[in-house]
Amino acid sequence: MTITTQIMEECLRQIALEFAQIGVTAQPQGSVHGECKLTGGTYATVVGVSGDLVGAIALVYDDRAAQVVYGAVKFDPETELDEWTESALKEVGNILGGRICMFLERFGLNISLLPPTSVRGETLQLVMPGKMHVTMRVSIGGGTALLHLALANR
Amino acid sequence: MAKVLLVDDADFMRMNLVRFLSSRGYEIREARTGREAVETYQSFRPDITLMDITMPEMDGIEATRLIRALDPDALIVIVSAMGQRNMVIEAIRAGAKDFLVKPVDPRNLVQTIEKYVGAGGKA
Repeated sequence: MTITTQIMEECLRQIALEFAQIGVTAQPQGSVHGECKLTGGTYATVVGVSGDLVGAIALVYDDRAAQVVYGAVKFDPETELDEWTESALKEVGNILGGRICMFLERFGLNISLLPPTSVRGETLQLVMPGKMHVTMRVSIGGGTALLHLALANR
Repeated sequence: MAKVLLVDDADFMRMNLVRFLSSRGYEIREARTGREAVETYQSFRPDITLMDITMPEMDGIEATRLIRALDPDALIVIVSAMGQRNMVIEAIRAGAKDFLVKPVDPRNLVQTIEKYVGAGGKA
């Protein structure tokens, strides 16, 4: 089985449905072929993919979205960003990556995740190695996160 | 009270779970990689090991295999975001007793620990 942009877009639609169940609005933004550059956001988590596919899953958050997500995983909506934020966001990326793994398994694609990495900066620029790239905008408590899938057949 | 080895490379996850499980009286040791887990297992001899899969140096499947080779009675529960069927089968073949898919409610984790070791130690 090979990955296609249609499968990747369907994967994002499935995740958007799961987000909707917890009151989070997510809107797929379409696909791009060729190497992609990601810009914007103040926190980013990148989860590498191995197995049948190569590429990465990236989540890029603005400050507000990072704060809301961090508050959700700490069960404390009033929490401030601190030294644990990056680790918490990496775990969120790992869990989301796991959902994507399970979705792709339905199409006969067996992938594993690499340990997440995170970066922080005012104007992040990430270059992802996938040949096909789909994006989804996620609105979280007044903030925005972008979920990117950049995957290619091995 | 039961001895729990908690293996996860995510500092935040370990911090949260150590706080939660310690407050319920469990004796906890932590490991950040599969390699650390194998080393810590030998000195700590936990009643149960909660093992992530995706970790640097050595993943949780390989660590499970090595720990079970050292101690065929080792009780290992995989706690991972990767819940694909193939992954579950591989974990069980490596010797894991159970498989929980993240995100895991800490209360469910306690139920799982008690299911295998009771509240006091290895059943």
